[in-house]
Amino acid sequence: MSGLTSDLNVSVQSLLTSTESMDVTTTNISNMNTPGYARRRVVLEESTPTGLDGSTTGVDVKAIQSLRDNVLDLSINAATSQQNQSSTIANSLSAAQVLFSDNASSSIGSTLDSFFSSLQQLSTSPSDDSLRSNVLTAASNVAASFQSTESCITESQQQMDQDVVQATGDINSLLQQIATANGVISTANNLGQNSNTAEDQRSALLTQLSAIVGYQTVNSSNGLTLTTDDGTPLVVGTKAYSLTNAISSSGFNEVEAGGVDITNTIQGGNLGGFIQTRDQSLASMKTQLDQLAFQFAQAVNSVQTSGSDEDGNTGVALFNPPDTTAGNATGAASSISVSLTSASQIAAAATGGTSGDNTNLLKMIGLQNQSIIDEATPTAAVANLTFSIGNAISQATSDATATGNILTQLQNQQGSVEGVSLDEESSNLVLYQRSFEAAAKIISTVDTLMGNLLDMGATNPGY
Amino acid sequence: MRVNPNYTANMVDLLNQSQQDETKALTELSTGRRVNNPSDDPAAEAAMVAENSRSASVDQYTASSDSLTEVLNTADSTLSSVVTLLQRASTLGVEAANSATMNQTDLNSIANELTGIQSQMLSLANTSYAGQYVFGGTVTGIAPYVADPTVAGQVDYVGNDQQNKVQIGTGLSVASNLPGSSIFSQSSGNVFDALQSMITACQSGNNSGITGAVTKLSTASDTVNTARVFYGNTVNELTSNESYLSQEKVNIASYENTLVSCDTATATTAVTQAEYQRNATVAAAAKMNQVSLLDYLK
Amino acid sequence: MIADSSTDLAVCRELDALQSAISGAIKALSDWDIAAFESAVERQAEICGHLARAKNGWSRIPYVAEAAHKVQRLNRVYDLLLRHSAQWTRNVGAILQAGGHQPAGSVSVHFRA
Repeated sequence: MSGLTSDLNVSVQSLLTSTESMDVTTTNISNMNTPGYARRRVVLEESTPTGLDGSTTGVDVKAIQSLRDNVLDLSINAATSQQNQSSTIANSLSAAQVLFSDNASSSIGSTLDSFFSSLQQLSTSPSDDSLRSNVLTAASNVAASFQSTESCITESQQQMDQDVVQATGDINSLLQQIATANGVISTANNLGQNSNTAEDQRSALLTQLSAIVGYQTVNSSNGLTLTTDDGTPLVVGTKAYSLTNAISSSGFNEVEAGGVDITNTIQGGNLGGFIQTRDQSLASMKTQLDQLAFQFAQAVNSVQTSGSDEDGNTGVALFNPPDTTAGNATGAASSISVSLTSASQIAAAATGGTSGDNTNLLKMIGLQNQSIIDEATPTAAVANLTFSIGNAISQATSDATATGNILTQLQNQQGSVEGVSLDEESSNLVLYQRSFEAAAKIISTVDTLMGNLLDMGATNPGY
Repeated sequence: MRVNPNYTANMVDLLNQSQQDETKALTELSTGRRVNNPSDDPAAEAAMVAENSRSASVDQYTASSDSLTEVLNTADSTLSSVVTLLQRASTLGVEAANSATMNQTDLNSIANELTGIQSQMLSLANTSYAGQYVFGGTVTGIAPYVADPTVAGQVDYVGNDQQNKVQIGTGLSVASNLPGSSIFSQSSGNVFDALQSMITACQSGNNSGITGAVTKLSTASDTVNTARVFYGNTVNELTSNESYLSQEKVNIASYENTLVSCDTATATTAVTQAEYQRNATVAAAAKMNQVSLLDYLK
Repeated sequence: MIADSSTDLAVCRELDALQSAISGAIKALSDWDIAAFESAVERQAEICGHLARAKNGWSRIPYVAEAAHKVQRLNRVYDLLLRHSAQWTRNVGAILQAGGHQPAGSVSVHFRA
């Protein structure tokens, strides 16, 4: 027969324990939508015996365990990084691609076509002043198109640049918070306490971080260590190593860790997307555009200077690209403009030819079908640019969709492991309620019976 | 293995997807194009750039052809007038050569008319179209035939013998002018010389001179008529080329259609399907929210 | 069939068993083991049945009283625990309802005042 004291101890202890269990269930339900929250359950252990008779105080709550699958979480974060990078690239390039749509009448392709058409028309009557004037207008439309296309690309790059700075700030904030969470978790663990809430928070922070940038994690003795993909430390224990920005020779912000430029090593997340777009996709387009402007202008100018204008003078350059002698195309698209001041300066005639001679014009027209832009005709060069940007976006969009599908699957997996199920929790509730109803009746009965037993004259020792 | 209790996220994804599909299909229907941005179909867009260029070229060939046709027709009808004048001069010459019926007064009268013809001829030889002289070769800014102020009836050609070429198709060009030197001149002199020699012969009553001049006029006339062949042939070539160009336009437009156009039937079906998908998703989500285990425990 | 002297013994045995069953219910509740809880409650019901039938055989034996007191006191602790549990169940139910989740088939638990 067990002693009453022992039973009472069990009861008191049990009250405490069951309160914890109920708390866990309540916590689960109220946190079902909390990012990073992992379903908890109580792990119970029989208390160590304290009584001489080997009796125990009942059960102790050994641990409130968070049901988290760490490997799954890592996979999800990796997929999140990837998807965000791809989406960012696709979105960032969308503005620039409009310039290359075949629909746009001010596109480079259209203005070049119009320029060559105006030359053709002039070739039917080389001394016609209004036709000459049309050629100059068409030429300045070409220049304007190059300039506005370049300008749009540069604007996009500048937007990306701002986004890089913003993202760096966001990363630093998250790194701080992760370092703090590391501290809380570490302290709790050292005291043998559970750290579920801090771990949930840290998990949410890690996912948020992965959306912004890719990183590596290592479990170490002082907690979770975060590094960049190439090993530069970001968080070690409770210390966060903030990133900084500095303007480089390109005029754009680089990302630095400890004063060292790590921009080129950053992968994944929105930041990876901003950097890739700014420094690769858009930069490459600008280079190709410059090349196109430079070589086109150079070819036209070359024909101009090998003919005679309406007054019989040797032709002068039609366009103003910069620094033709140095052969450096950088900046050509932003600075190309028409150099001639008068339409009579168009060198339609062969050298020494008369004002009605169109020999030189025919040469200029012929440029349209010559491989003057790195072994491509002007039209082909434009088509290539169009394809490049369209393809970059299309690829990034596909990547984002594909990783999105993987992410959904991983999240489903995570949900099944870590997600709180209202149905499960509710079904338990119903069972409890039914049991409690029955139990309450028995309590009542027992109370009555004991009352009767005592009333019937059994000596009441009193409380 | 538990099912993911957080199915809401999946529902939202499905709804977003069907929303996007519907928007895309509706855009296609309203623009008439399947490809509205390079990213929709990069290869098709690149091909469109090339096709638009081809199309612009064809348009220009047509415009060039029209311009040329006009100037060539002008030149040709001018030469038709020249021929008429030459015929008139010939007739007069034959009359003048008939010494049986002609006296000096008659001859003087003929000489006068011929002088009139000569000045008309000069004017015709200096025909311009849209401000450019037509018969000067590639010298189009100044009148190609200049009357020598000191020598009566002497007209010098100050144009050149150059011909411009104009492109009217891929690898296809036509000469756009015939220099006056090929029309009004022969080895023995030009048409003005022929007229002047007749005038001089008439004025001096030189019958054999008149007969000689009639022969010269005849040769000049032949030269002009031969020259007109150039205009006739060139205009014919331009005309037949235009029908080829029209066909090219149709071909290009048709190809562009296949590249980027929206197939109305397909797009309409896509809209319907997307709407259906969205409704089904919303219905499923609503159902899932209502039904839970608890309902079954009633 | 319960005889006089054996009645006292039987009652005592039942009372001990009842105490044990109530303890079991408490433990099961703390374990949140509904199956164990329900079987403990069932055991209590069974024992109450025996005690009710043996009513007439009760006599005034001090250690019976002591046993009865123990049960009474334990029962009251158990009562507290159960009320607490029921309260919690109602709270959670309310949370679920607030979230749009209708826990059907819920019953309200009545206690003797």
